[in-house]
Parts: sequence; structure tokens; C-alpha cells
Amino acid sequence: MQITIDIEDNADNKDVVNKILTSLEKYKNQGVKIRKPLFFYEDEVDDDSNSKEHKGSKQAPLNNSVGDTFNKILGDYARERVNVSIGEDRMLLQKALWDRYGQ
Amino acid sequence: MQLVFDTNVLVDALLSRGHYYKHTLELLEAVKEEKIEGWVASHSISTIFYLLESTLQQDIHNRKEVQEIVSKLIYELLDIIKVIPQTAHDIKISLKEFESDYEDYVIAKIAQNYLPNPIIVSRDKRFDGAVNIDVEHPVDVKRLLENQSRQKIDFANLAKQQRKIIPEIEKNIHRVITKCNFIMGDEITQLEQKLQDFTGAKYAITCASGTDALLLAMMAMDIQPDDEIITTPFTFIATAETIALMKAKPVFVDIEDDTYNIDATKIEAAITHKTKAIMPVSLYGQPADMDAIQAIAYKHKLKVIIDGAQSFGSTYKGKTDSNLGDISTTSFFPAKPLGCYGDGGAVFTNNDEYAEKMRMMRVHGQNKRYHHKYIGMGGRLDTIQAAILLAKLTNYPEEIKQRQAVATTYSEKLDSSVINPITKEERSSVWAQYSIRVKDRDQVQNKLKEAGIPTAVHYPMPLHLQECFQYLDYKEGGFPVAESVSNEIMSLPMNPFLTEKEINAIVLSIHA
Repeated sequence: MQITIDIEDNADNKDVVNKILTSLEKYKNQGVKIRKPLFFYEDEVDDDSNSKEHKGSKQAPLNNSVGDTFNKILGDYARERVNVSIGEDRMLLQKALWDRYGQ
Repeated sequence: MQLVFDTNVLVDALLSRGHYYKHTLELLEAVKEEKIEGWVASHSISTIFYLLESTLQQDIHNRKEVQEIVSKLIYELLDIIKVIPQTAHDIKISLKEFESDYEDYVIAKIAQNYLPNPIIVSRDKRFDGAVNIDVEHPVDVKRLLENQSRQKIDFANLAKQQRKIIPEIEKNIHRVITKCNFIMGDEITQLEQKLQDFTGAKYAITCASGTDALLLAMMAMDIQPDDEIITTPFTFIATAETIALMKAKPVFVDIEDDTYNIDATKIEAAITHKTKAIMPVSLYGQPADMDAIQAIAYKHKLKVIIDGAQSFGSTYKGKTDSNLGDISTTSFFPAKPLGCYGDGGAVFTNNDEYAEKMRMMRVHGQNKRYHHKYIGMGGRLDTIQAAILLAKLTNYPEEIKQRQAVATTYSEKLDSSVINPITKEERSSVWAQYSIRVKDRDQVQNKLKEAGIPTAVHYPMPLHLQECFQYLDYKEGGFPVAESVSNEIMSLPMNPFLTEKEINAIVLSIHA
């Protein structure tokens, strides 16, 4: 059985976590067997900053640089992406794996 | 130092993500320029794929298009950084030992297993630290690189060479193992063709070692007991040992004071009615005076066997030394300029008869299965060694240039307190060794040892003074140049990857 959880577009990370957990609890109480591994990433959704220095470099990638090569492959979809965290990555990964193998 | 990139920082760099992606890009740029080594665990690739795919699906709805872009990105990435191999054993050990995160643990474990000085580059504060390994944020790695102290200088640095070509080595070894063609497999034929192309010799025949190559050459020439073969006393034992194994007599001739190769001007005086061949050695990678030697051989109807164990790829008047003489030999011993991962060698000739005989003789003299035309030997090169050599041969021309550049830098920087090796005009050396002469060798070696710089002596005792050749009745003082050089010679680290900074450190220690 596949369960769809509606998440509002403007939901922040904590909302997403809470919504998933509430939904899972609800279905669990109904006797639905949950096969998806649970990963509690609530404490990991903030941008990771274990560095001693937080300032990022501002210059644009040089021509023929590694960054330039990646951006050329990305084409129209090359853009800076923000709000990155290990927790977000794990969520994305779980979703990808769940879509592929979990159903 | 080898950087092992964690999944998160690579996805950042590939997608311009987060605050620190430019720092990772700078590190990747340094890897691309070969200023530092960059690696990724094979384990991480599928994770990177899924993360890229999931992220891009937020922008692109056509899944096929997403997958094409993701494949291209990872393919491009793997042109810059290399993949750390991973075995089932690594997986099982990691499953047993990991504490908090299996994937992190595998990355750390294989990094430690395969790399000498790895540092994990990660944004993950909770990277599984069960393995005692340094984990650094991309911002801090840059600072670490700027402040890094000098790494240990490696003499031959085979490990770095292997890390540079590990995908080809893995692929080639795996192919042999899968096909189970361990003896005389396709790779032998492929290698021999490539060796012929590289050297210009009509025939290249691989064999089990440089020593077997010399034996095969003399067997093909039908060298008999009591025949005499003229050679140098300043070489590795195999040169004269194989002559003795054939029950022939090694006849030594002193060496030149500058190239340390056999002195051609002294050969004729050593020729007798028993002399059958001259065996010059291309010591340290440079051919001997081949025009003079060939002229003497022609005049006295002698054969020439070149012991090119150290000189594969060197040239004399534009020809490789494998394409000179009646038969030329080489060694693929691991520390040789072109080395395999065990013993290996080859013989080269333009003579049809010699080629046919040596092909048979390396397989017990057989001309067809269980039919033996000659007394031969089990002298075949293993297929797996041929597979390794095929992977290494691709980079070899570049490595020769790098060795020559290292030698030039040494020569420019070392002062007159040492005697530098020289390369004669119209010859090139592949610099198997960079050997200098110093008056107080023990003292210089000790100074270098204290500075953590390895050295070696090639060779401390000339062959005419070796116990095993006492029966030849040579005396001390018989070959004064060889004796003098053997007292003063010492080899410095020589490999294609020595940096100018490392050479400066070596030179500074010598001059101190």
C-alpha cells in the first residue's frame, strides 16, 4: 500500500518531519505494516556548519573550470541552490530509495 | 595526502549547492591540476546519483533527461577524481565494525585500506568516526593544504603510480581473472604487439624475468660451455650470473668513468678465440657506446646481447635500445622504469631464427603441445602481469619525460660537491636510477636518512670481487674504475612524481 502525505508548499523542515511522523503513527495504529526505515533527521535539518570559517567564496566559476564544466552539463538548470543540509539529503535519498525499492 | 570526498560535498559541487560548494570546487580544481589526489568511495556513487536525480527532478520533470544529466555530471566528476576500490571483504568487515553510520564507515575503512594518508572531506558533523581518520570541512582542507608539512619522500613511489592508473589496472586484472586465461592469455599477444610498436623491434617476446630474458638470448645463440662473453663488472649480478649458468665464462672489461657503462675502447683487448658475444648493460637507463661495440662485434664476428634490464624506452641515435644488437633484453621487475607486479621480462630481436627459438624455449622448447624441439624452460610471463603492463604502458612515454625532467632538475640544483650522472650526446636515458658519486658516501647517506630521505647503492661491490666469481681469478685492482665508482656511487630517490619541492629538500640535505 502506498500512502501519500500532503505537504504544503511553504512548509518548513520541521513541519515536514512532524507531518510524516504523525501520518506514520496514524497508519501504524491502524495496523498498517510500515516497511520504510525511519530516520529521525529532525536535529539535522539546519544548514551544516562544522567549519571554523563560514564565509563562502563569491567569485563566479572561471571558464573551463570544474564548476563551469558542471554548469555546462546542467545547462538551463544550472543555478545556485541554497538551504542544504545532511538531513535534507537523507530525506531526498530515502524518498528516492523508497520510490525505487520500497513499494 | 589524499582527499576522499564525501557524498554531500560532491553533490554540493556538482549542483552549486549551499555555502561551501565553491571551496569544494577549488579542491577539485587542485585535483584536476594534479596538485593533490582526489578520491571517492565506489560506495558513494549510487548515493550521489540518487541525490542528484532527486534534486534535479524538482526542476526537470522528464526523468530520462534528468538521468542523462546526472550520468554526464558523474562521468565528468570521475575524470577528475578516482574511485577507491572496494571488495566484499571490505563490506563484511564494515558491517561488523560500524558504529553509527554504515556508509560513512565503509568510506573511512576503504580509504584507510587503500590510501596511505587519507583525509575525508565532508560537511557531516556526525561522520562515523569509528575508524581513526581525519575528517575535515572543505573550507578547512584548503587551509590544511596550504600549511601541510613535507610528506615522506618515496624512492620509487610505485604506490602513487598505481593510484594514478588504478581503474585500468583493476579492469585488466579482473578481465584475466574472469577469463581464467592465466597462462599465455590474449594479454600476452596484445602486450607483445604493443612492445614491438613501442620499440620498433621486429619481435618482442615476453618472458618470466629479466634473468630468463638473458638466458633465452644465450640459449637462442647456442652459447656453449667454455664460450666467453665479454661484459661489465659494474652491474647487477644477473648479467654475469646467467653467463655462468650457461657454463660459459664471463670476461669482464672495465667501465667508462662518466656513464659507468662498459668501456668499448677496452673490449678488443679482452677478445680471445673463445669469445662468442659482447653483453653491454645499459646501466641506470642509458645505452652504452653501441656504435663502437657493434663495430667490434662485426669485425670479430661476435654477437651482441644488450642487457637492457634498466633501460626500456631509452634511445641511441634515435633507436630504442631494444632495437639494437642481435638480441636485446629487458626486465619488468616492479622497481624498473616499466615494472609489473612481480617478475617479468622480454627479449627483442629482428632475427627470425632467434625469435622462433626463443618463443619455443620459453615454453620448454616445445613447437607443438608435448613435442619439444629444444631443451627450454618454463619461462613465460604470467597473463596477469601482461595485463598490468598493458595498463602501465599507456602512461609510460609520459613517465619517461617526467623522469627526465626530474633528472634535469637534480643536475641543475646539485653543486660540485657531487659528481652528477651524464647522458652522452645522441643518447637518452630513462633514468632507472639517478646515481651520484660522493667521496664520503656513508656520511651523505646518514644525513639523508636523518632527513627521512631514502637512498640506495647500485652497486657496492663490482662483480669480479664477488665470492661466487672467485673461480674466475680476478683480483682487487683489476678494474680500477669499476672499483672506484662502487665505493662512491649512491642513488637518490627517482620516480616520475618527485616534485621540485621534494628535490629541493633532497639537494638541501646533501649540501648541508
